[in-house]
Order: sequence, then structure tokens, then C-alpha cells
Amino acid sequence: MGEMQAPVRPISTASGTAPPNTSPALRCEALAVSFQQNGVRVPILRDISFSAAPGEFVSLLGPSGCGKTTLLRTLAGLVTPESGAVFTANGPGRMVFQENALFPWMTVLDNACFGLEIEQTPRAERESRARLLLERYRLGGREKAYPHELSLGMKQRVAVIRGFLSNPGLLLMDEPFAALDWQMRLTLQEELLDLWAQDSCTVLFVTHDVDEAILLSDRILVLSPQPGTILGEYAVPFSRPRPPELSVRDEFVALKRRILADFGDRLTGARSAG
Amino acid sequence: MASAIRQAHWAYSIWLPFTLLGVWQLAATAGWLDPLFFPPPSKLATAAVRQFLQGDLAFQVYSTLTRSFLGFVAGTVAGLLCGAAMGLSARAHRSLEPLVSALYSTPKITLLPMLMLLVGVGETSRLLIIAAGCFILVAMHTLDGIASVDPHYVDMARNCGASRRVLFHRVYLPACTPHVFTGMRLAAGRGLVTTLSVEMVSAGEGLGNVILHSWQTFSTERLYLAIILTALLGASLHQSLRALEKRLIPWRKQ
Ligand SMILES: Nc1ncnc2c1ncn2[C@@H]1O[C@H](COP(=O)(O)OP(=O)(O)OP(=O)(O)O)[C@@H](O)[C@H]1O
Ligand SMILES: [Mg+2]
Repeated sequence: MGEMQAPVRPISTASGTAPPNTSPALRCEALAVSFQQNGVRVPILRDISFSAAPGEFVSLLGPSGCGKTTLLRTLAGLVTPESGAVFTANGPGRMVFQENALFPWMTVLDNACFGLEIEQTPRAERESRARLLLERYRLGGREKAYPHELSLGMKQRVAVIRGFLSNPGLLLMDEPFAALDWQMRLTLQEELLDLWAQDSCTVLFVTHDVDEAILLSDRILVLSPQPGTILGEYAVPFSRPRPPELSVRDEFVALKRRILADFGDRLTGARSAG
Repeated sequence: MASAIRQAHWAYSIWLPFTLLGVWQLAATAGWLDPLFFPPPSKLATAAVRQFLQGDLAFQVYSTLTRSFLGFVAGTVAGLLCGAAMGLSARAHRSLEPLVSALYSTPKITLLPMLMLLVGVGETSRLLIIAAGCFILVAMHTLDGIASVDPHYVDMARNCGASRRVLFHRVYLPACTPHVFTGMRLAAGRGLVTTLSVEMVSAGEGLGNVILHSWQTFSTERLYLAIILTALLGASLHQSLRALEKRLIPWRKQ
């Protein structure tokens, strides 16, 4: 198998990222995961090595089924790797799940506060912190609603808010906006960047949308089809805050074109609207 | 489907019973039915007022209600404990499974003679029979509920750092409540049914006993009254448990 040479590019220090010398918030070394399927060991991830600086926003871009969710679950401590090691500065990452990201039996408010509840933050304090964010992201008045009474976009908003409210050192987001329509996705992306700007947490964001990866992140890692491994790495040097019309600027389009030229054939399922 | 049921006017739930009563009344007054065997509903209504005011009918209803309630509570508590033990421990599951499945497929009333030999012919044997029916349903649904807790939510809570205690009361307990409640609702209905059967074969009072006794003495009015009261009890039990379910499980998609 002639493995394609990964075009690894040096990480440029985009505004907002920490200098590369501080100790990383997350480091994976030669991580491999396999699952038992019908009695056969199937490799899902192999030789995953990368790190993320504190406060860095890193996207993982990869085709469906390549093991993105599995990688996040491993970093969250929910899957035990077959070999390799994960180092995190502040314990396992907090996950925002791809599906059913809210507990159906808890209200919006309880869902948003759940991380703080576990940390035994007093009720009054955790609820006022959650109310503040719910209010700001247009969920005011819906605190007592149950997830089945919310739209998909609202549910994902609550899930993102819970992620940030649980004081994560590392936030692992698994395609939180994949099922939303374009308009809603733009809104939630903006809200996410807004929340992240006020927090110092490191974000690992899984997506198979090239535009989304460029718009949000400081750095993009491209994964291969199963068994997933890191094929390439791109720095995204655009300054923040990033205006929505960034996606039609030449430098954005040039980066997108480069990623698609390198990996377009392997990112089947990636959207190319823009 | 469910939402269509909720949207229909409440009158839809009563027109059919009332029409049937109307037909019955018509047939009885027109002389198509023998009023000795089938007294018209109007006569039943006056008989009902009389029997409630002067007779013992209220007492009979009360006996049936307390008997089935006590049996239900005892069976439910035992069922919850047994189901939880079976759901949480593989050893308990293995040990209790044969007994539970044997009890499941045995008509509880057939155990009455044996129980009367064991604990005597008094109220205890009746309550045990009623409890046994409730026990099985609650135990099985509790077991089901625990087995069907979605591991995704367990992962989600663990990822937030939940302890075993938090996992239990924030994930396992609410996740299996709908199943447990279904078990309890079915058990309440089964409890009433078993109570009636037990009263027909062994008790000296209660609606089941009234039905048997009125048949033997050919008191048709009393017979029909007891049957109608039994049906009303069953229907109101079902309705109130449905309402309670909505309050207790507000997150359930209706
Ligand atoms: N618990 C499991 N047991 C066995 N195989 C699994 C398990 N979880 C995932 N897999 C397999 O691992 C592979 C990667 O799955 P994963 O969910 O990580 O993909 P993904 O990249 O997140 O896909 P998508 O973009 O569709 O969400 C798939 O082939 C899947 O069948
Ligand atoms: Mg996935």
C-alpha cells in the first residue's frame, strides 16, 4: 500500500493561540484503538499522534466512519486504547455528543447545569450561571422545557452551553451542528466562537464540513478513512473575531481548495458549499 | 396516533357506553328483553341510589378497594425489590429467574387452595394471591427498565464525572421510571381482577362476593349494579393512573 505522504505544515501562531512552547493541554502518542466485531478484532484508529496547546481550537476533519467519535470517546476516557497514550493537563475531556446530547428526563436548566451539579456547585450559583448563558443564547423562558419540546438547534445550544459550563480544560465536540440547516449552523458556529472566546478551554471539534473546520479552528487535522490516522495538518492563520463573510474571501477559498486538492477524494461526504 | 387521541373531544369517550345503555333501556321498556333477567338501566339507577343509601353497597365497594389496594402495595414493593435485585446483580437474576417465570405463567387463583392450607382461610391468603399477581408484573417491568437504560446516557453522565450514587439517581432511576410505572399500572388493573376472582371463591364480602351471591339468590338488580361498579372502578383506576403518569413522567413524548 503506497501510503500518501502527509503534507504536514508548520503550525503558525495564529492570533488567539498560545505560543508553541507551553506544555500542551492534550497530547496523544501513537494511539491505536480496535473493536471486536463478530469475534474479529478490527482496527479503528492507528498511530494517532498530535497535541493541542492550551486554549487552542483544533478541528478533526474526516469521512464518515473513520473513527472520529471513537477518537473523542478515547480522549474522554470512555474507550480504552489498545496501545499508545493520552496526556491531558486537566483530566479527561468533556464531551458534547453527536446525538442525544441531552438527558431526556431533565429540563433545559438541569441539563445545562449538570456538569456543575456534579461538581457540587450550590444550586443557586449554578442556576444563575446557566440562566445567564441560556438568556444570552436566546433560550430565556425555556428553562423548564424538556428536550423533546425543543428544536434541534435549541437542543444543540443547550448541549454546547453545558459543555462550557462544566469548566472543561478540554472540550470534545462531536459534530454538534452536523444535523442543522445552513442558517442555524452559522448562528451556532458564531455562538460557539463567542463562548470559547470568553473561556480559556482547549477545543477539539470533529466535523466533516471543510468550511466549518476553517471557519472555527486554529488548526485542522485531516483523518484517513478507517482505520483512521492523521494524514495532514493545516494551520488556519485568520485573525479573530472572524466575520461570516470570511468564507468568500480569497485566502479562505485558497485554503479550502488546498485541503480539497490534497484530500477531497478521501473526504467523501464533505460539503463544498461556500 | 396518541396526539389524535388527545385532540378528540372528551364526549367521544362516553357516547358509546351511553348509547349502549340507551339501547338496553329501549329494549327493556319495549318488552324485547325480559325485565326479570335484564332490568332496564332506569330501574338499576333507582336501585343504586337505594342500595347505596340504605344497603351495604358502599361497604362492599370499600372492601374490594382496600383489599386490592393492600395487595397491590405489598406486591409492588416486593416486585420493585426483586426486579431491582435481578436487574443489578447477575447472581440474583440467575437465582430468581426460574421462580419468577414459573409464577408468571401460573394463574394466581389456582394457588389459593395451597395458600389457604399454608396460612389459613383468612384475609392473609387472599392478600397474598392479589399481591402475587402485582408482584410479577412490577418485577418484570422493573427488570426490563433497568436492562433498557441506554448506555449512552450512562457514558454522558460518567463523562461529567458522575459518581455511582449520582448515576443511580440521575440516570438509572429516571431512565427506568416509565417501564416501572407501566408495570405498576398493569399491576393495579391485575390486582383488581384478582381481587374480584378471589372474592367470588373465598371472601364473605366485596363486589366479587356480591356478584356471586346475587346470582345465587337471583337478585338481578344487585348483580348488574355490582358488575357496573366493578367496570367503573377499573375505568377510573386506569384513568387516574394515566393522569399520575403524566405528572410523574413529564419528559415522555405524548
Ligand atoms: N462499540 C463499538 N463496537 C464495535 N465497533 C464499533 C463500536 N463503535 C464504533 N465502531 C466502529 O468503529 C468505526 C468508527 O466509528 P465512529 O463512530 O468512530 O465513526 P465516525 O468517524 O464518528 O463516523 P460519523 O462521521 O458517521 O459519525 C465504525 O466502523 C464503527 O462501526
Ligand atoms: Mg461520529
